[in-house]
Amino acid sequence: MKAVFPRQAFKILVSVIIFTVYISLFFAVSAQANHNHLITSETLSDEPIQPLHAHEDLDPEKITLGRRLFFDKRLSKDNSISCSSCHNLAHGGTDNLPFSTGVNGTTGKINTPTVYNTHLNLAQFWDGRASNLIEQVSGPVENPLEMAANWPDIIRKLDQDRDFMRRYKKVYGNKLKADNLIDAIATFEKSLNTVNSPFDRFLAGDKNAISAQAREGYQIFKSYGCTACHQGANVGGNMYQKMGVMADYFEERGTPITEADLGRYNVTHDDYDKFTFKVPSLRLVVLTAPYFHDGSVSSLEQAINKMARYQLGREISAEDVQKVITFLKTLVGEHKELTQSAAE
Amino acid sequence: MKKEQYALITYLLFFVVTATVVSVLYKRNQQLQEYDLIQNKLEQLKELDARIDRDLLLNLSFYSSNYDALAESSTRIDTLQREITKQTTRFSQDEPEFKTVLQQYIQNSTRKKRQLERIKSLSSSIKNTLQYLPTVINELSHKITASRHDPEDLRFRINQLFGVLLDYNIFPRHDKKQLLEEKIAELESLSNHIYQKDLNNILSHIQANLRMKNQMENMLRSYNKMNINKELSRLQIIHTNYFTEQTKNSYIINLVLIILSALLFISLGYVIQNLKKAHIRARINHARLYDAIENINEAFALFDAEDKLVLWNRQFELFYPKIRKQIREGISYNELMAAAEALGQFKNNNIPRLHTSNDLQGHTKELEYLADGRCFLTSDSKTSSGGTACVRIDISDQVKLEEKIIWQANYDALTRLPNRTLFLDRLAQAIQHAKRDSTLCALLFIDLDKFKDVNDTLGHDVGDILLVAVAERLSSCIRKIDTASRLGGDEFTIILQEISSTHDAASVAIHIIKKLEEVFQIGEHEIFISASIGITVYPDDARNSTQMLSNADMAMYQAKEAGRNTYRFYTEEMNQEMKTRLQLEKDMRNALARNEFVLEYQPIIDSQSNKVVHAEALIRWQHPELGRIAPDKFIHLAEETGFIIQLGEWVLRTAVTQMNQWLKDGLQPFSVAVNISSRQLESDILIKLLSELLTEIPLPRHALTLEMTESLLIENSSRSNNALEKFRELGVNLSIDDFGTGYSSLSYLKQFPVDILKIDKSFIHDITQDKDDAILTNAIIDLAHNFNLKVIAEGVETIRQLNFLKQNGCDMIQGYYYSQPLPADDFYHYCLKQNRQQNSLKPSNGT
Repeated sequence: MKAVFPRQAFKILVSVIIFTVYISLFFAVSAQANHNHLITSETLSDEPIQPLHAHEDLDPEKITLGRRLFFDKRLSKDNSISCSSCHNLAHGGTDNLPFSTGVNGTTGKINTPTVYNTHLNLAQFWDGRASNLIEQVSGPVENPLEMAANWPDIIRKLDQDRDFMRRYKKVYGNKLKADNLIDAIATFEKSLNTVNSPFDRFLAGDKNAISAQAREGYQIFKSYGCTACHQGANVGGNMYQKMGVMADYFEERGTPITEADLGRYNVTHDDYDKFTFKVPSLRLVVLTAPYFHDGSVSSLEQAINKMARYQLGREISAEDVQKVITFLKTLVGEHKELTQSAAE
Repeated sequence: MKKEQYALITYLLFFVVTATVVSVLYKRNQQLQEYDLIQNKLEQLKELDARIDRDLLLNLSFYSSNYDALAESSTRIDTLQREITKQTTRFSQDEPEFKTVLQQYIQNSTRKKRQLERIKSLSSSIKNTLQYLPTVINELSHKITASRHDPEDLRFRINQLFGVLLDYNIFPRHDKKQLLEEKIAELESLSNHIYQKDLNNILSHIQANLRMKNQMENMLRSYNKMNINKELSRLQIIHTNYFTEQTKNSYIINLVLIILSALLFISLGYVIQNLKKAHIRARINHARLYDAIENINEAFALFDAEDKLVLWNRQFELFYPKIRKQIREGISYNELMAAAEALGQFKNNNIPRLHTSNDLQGHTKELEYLADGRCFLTSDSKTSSGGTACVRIDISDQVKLEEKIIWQANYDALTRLPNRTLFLDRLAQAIQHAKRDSTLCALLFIDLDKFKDVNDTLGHDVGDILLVAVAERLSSCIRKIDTASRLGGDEFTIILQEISSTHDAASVAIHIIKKLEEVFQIGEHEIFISASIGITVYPDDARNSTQMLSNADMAMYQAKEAGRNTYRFYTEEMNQEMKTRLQLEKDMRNALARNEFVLEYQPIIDSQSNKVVHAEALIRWQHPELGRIAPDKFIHLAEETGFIIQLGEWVLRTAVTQMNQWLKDGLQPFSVAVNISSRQLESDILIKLLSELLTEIPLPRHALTLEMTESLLIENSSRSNNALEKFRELGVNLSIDDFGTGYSSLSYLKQFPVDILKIDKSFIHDITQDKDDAILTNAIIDLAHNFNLKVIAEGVETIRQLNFLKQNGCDMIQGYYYSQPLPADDFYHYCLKQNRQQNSLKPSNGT
């Protein structure tokens, strides 16, 4: 028994130590705070327009899966259209139509905005009814005038696709869920950033990245007050503005006012917000004609003229318009999906 | 409570409590994390709200020219709010106040955000007017300068107005607004000048600015009133209070659980200690078990329920030396035995089966034969745990002993041939076989002729060697399916199976006879023997083995009677004869008790005195059914069956008693002769009997004569001589019967102490006609007289025969000429009459 006792004591000691470690581990874990990094204070800049940066920290698998879904026609009721049908990535992320065509040839009620750089917007849709891309995805999918589908149907369709499911399972696990599909699409959309535009290079210090005329155009753009609204990295998209601050756009348009024309009112139901829209980004404006929420203007010259008139309450010379356009062209950045260039 | 149960319960309790502690701690940890998360987010919201206020201030004061920061904060607030709502769903159910306040907060926050957006829009427009006005005023100034026409001092007044506007925009005071409105009204009142259009444009922008500035003021005022921090703080407090409460509760629970755990730890220690003790006990038990199984002579192996080897002793390895390397833990019985088979461990590759079947006793016993000649008794029994305990007992010695006993019971030790027992068994089998296959089977009964002589002359050792040699020759004469066996002595049998005809049996018999005729060279001796063979055939002669054996025996006797060195088939006549013999033998044994035997006495007359000097006692059998039976019909039988001993005794006793009676009755002394058979001489019984009888009934010397044949004397020469001397000492005369028919060797006359010769009646019969017989008879008489022996002529029937004999000096005459054998009474009267006649004929000689 003498020889036995120390071994026995040792065993008990080891058990006690293991138990103690076990308990302290839990306390240690609980003590560990799950702090998220707070927003760092952004640098103040002299320039109203800021360089555009790519969205970091995106899961490449999710992007791949999201892209697949973005081009997948099964997301529409009759498998006729996909996200890319209206958001043509090669051509600035729109279909260059006043209103897009949905399933069964239905026509939308508002102009299709670009899908590029959308995550920089303070909200989605012209009226900002979706506060982020996650909320936005279901909009067109379930809109009877657009894709007219529903997620249970889509899940049923996708569940049959072995190849898709294999990729899906790698990222999200076995169960096919609408939330995950939306997340994948939103992630893909977040990756659609047109970076490294000539203007951004100019902002970074390369004075020759844009032409003298473009530089002049930028000065005009600022001096006319355009940057009051079209500012920030996305040259817009971060605020709302009434369509027709200095003059009545809708009266002079000559067509009846539609529900879509009411803009942000449709969200807030406050009369003050009538005819107020999210200020669109001008990053790819040279590629995304026709213009305005009603798609009523087909040329950029016209659009600039109308903006000066209704928003700024002044006229702009044709010469200045051209200079501004030259400047606007330098805003177009690069993305592998975007094949159309600003020069065209 | 048993210790094991205590240990089990302690273990269970320990794990339950540990699991509870862990789960409580885990849950608490979860709650803490959740708390931290929510608090953090609420804090972030506060910070973001402040940030929005700050950034808005920066924007409004023209320090920042874009809204990216605001937009980002706004989006973040949205996200955080959604996350908090989602993450506090459960918490909100516990604390409804939190839910209410949260909803209120989100509502206010949304309102504030919307207000913010309006301020942003408005601010942009205000900035535009302020940015545009210098341009348009400058343009007008240039125009005025160019035209050198400035009615109403327009340039100055506009510039002044713009100055006031800027002042108002920076320091918006009511008095300044009034001043501005006055100035605007002044300029509006100016009309009909060339700068009217430009002026209107400027004024409209100024008015727009004022209007928007107004709106802005109102908005900012209401924006400032929107204090959402209050709600956020409230949320934090509610949340914190709740968790403080939770922590208090869980602290007590934790404490209790930890104390419980500690107690259980102590119990665990106790259990471990007990386990240790149990372990030591188990080790001691194991050692005992080891000692037990290692110190038994039997091989032992234990297989578990899955038929895997778990325990075995060294004996088990020694029992199966060829698979020693394969014996290891976990191997199955079948694998083991397959290996043993492959290595040739078992005899005939007869794999023993492991008995796992549930028979009644739970164990089975079988024999297992190994290639090296060992034999194990297997005893496989079911264990309580469903395994099999496998025991092997080495019974090789027992088996060998048994085999030896079986062999001894069935084989003849000398010749190594099957003995009588096995022979009978084989014969029965052969009969069955023949019966089944409808074939013939024959039994040969072989008896060696004159084997007794070999034993007598050369000794038993040589006799035994000869028997072995005979056995070998017999075995060489037969096929494998046939059986040669020794019944005992010099009797052999051969069973021939599946023979096609009786002729085959005869061929074998002839072959055997020829083979045995060849000389046997045993040591320095050259021995010649022969055999008599009796043959019987199944199913022709017999139906069973007993009958067959007796048939063959009978046939063998026939062969012997036919002159030996030959064979005889059994016939039905033999059987009949045998039956008669048997009946006779049976009757004969009864006859003695029933007094059916009588003695008759044939007088023997002295040739000179014509008196009765001798009488031959002759036995007669008065059979109740068959009538009178002659001695030659039953004496031989009595000799064969050994009844002669009893019969001989009776004859002697009767004759002696009769003689004694006659002498008492006054008959003149004479000698009565009794025939002695060879069987009577074989033992000392006769001597003993005679001495007793003569002591009991004393007779004068020479009143009794024993008659025996030549051949009897020759055959028992060594014994005879001794016996004859004894007889003589008792005062008994000896005569040789049937002299001349046997060996006709006269040397023994000198050798044996004989008194009388009896010439066989065959010589006497033709004595008067046949010259040879006459010469021979004369020679015998002369010879006898020369040896000092008396001569009796037997079968004298005529006066001529008598005269011839008288002339040639024959001493005594026996025959019908004088008298046939007579019953005792008649003989008495005959004696009286004959002796009286002689006395009357010769009165001078009468006494």
